[in-house]
This record gives sequence, structure tokens and C-alpha cells, in this order.
Amino acid sequence: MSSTQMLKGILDGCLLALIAEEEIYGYELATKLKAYGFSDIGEGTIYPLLIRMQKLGWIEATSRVSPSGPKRKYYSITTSGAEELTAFKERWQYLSTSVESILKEDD
Amino acid sequence: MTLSTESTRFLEDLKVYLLASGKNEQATNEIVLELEDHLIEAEADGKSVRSITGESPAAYIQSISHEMAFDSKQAFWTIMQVYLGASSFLYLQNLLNGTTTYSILLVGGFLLISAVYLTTLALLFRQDALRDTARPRLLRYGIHGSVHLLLIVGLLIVNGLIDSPKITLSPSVGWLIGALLIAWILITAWKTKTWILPIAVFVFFVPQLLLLFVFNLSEITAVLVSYVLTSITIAVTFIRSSKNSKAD
Repeated sequence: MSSTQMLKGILDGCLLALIAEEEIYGYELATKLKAYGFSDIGEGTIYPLLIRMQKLGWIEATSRVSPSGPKRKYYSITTSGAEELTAFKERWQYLSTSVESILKEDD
Repeated sequence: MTLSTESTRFLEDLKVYLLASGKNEQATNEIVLELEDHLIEAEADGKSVRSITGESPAAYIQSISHEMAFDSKQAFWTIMQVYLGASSFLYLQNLLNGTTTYSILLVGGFLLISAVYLTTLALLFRQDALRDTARPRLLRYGIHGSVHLLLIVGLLIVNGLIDSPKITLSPSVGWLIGALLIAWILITAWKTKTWILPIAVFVFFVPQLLLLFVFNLSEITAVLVSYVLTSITIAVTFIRSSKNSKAD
């Protein structure tokens, strides 16, 4: 599995975590992801994921007029999104602990 | 702030592809606006459209499409719009000639041709939206339209040769359906802000009625003059609207 594929697998959880912090719009979200080190992934990758997460009811969007011209869509997390984020954190904790202990054994 | 040609074309291609794939119009407009907003900021920061799409805009457009549901209700109404729009000429012409008998073969065949026409047209649009070059393949659209026109002519010929169950409407019901058809055309045009069909119907039938009843010309002359006038009107309206959309 390439690093890009691995990153995409956990992108949902990271997006949820960023949206849970504050109401946020697409470009801001993409910029934040990059700042956290997700530079391999194209900025547009987030949009299909945002559509899917809206369908699943994890996030919701509200449109407001933006300074740059067209209406801007701001995302916020829903109750079921918050539950999914908690579940993701638990899965990630379990996975990272397992991986770390294997890597330590290798050392 | 204006977007680069490359970004504008990407947004147009995305919109055409999603609508031609039967995605909901409102959801399509929302994602196009959202990506437009993203591109405005990205270009202001010195990035190109590739920062959104990666190396393949076509693959990116498909990935967005994959996440959006097919709107069957919208697709049904689009087919009905084309079906009723196309059959309105035939129906109203028959009504003027006093014909109110229709075979199942003609009604069903027309509906089938409308559905095939729209489905294949959507496929052509989808292919064009994913191509690298900006020019649409006009010849293919011309051939596509001509083939379907021939299919309609073929249907009319076959309908004359083969006997199938028929429905005969009384004159009053016939005129009532005619009035409903005109109302439908006007309401649809008002809703979609596209007036080409009511204009074409008006130019096709009003001069014809005048030539027949005021100037007492023969039926064939009236139909021919109306046909030529309608063709010119459609061509002029089409050229004007493409010029306007280019100016926008």
C-alpha cells in the first residue's frame, strides 16, 4: 500500500477532527490539512469525502456570503459525526499502539 | 476576481458531466460554486487548477460524480419535457388538420425515441466534458440529431404500415389536451427560463393559421412557410444565446 492510499484511509477521521474544532470551509480545511503535513494529497481530494460525510449525516453545511464572491459553504459536525470521531480516535489509538509496539520490537 | 480560462473550463466541464450523469441540479450547482470559491482563493495564492484536480481533471470529475446520487425524478421530468416538447408540434399540427386518432405504436415509439435521444446525448456530453481539448465535437452532435430525426420519420412510416391499437379523442378532448400541452410548454419555459420552445411553437403555428384562414393559401404552402420561419427562428435564437453565454 502506498503512503497516499494509507493517508486516504484515515483522512475521514482527520477531517472530522478539524471540523469538530470549529465551523470551517473547504479551502481553509485543505490549507489546514497541508499545514499538518498532508502535502501528498491534492486539495480537491477533500470534496468527494465531504459530500460522502454529509450523506452519512456526520457533518452539515450552511451557506453564507463570502468576501471573495460566491456563497461559501461552512461545515460543522453533527452528533453522529461526533460519535464517529470518538470511534475513529479509539480505532486509531488501538492501531497506532499496535504498530508502535511492533516497530519497537524491530529496533 | 476572475478565474483563469483553465479553471473556468474545469468548472464548466464538471457541471456538464454531473448534469449529463443525472445528478441533482441543485447539488451540482452547490459543488460547482464551492469549487469556484476554492479556485478563486487558490489562484490568489498562486496555485493552478491542478492543485484541486491532481494530474487528471477527468479522474477528479468522476470521483465527485461517484459520490453524488442519481436523481431519477429529475431524469424522468427531463425526458417528459423533451417528449412533450417534440410531440407538441406533431400533436398540434394534427389537431389543426382535424386528426385526433393516435396509435399505441406512435405514442410509445415517440416516448422511446425521446428516452434514447436524451440518454445518448448525455453520453456525448459526458465524453466531451472529460476530453482534454476545449472544442466540442459538433459533427457528432449533428449526426446524433439527424439520426434521431430519421428515427422519427421511420416511426411515422412504420406507423402508417403496421396496424396497432388506436385511441381516438373527441374534438373537445383533443382541443383540451392541446390547450394543456401549450400550458405545459409555457410553464416549463417560465420555470427553466428557456423560451425557445414556446417561440418555435408560436412561429410554427401562428403564421400557418394566418396563411390558411386569412390569406386562404393551400395547406402545404402554409406548412412549408411556417417550417422555414421556425427553422430560421431556432437558428437565430440559438446563435444569439451562444453569443450571450460567451459574453457572460
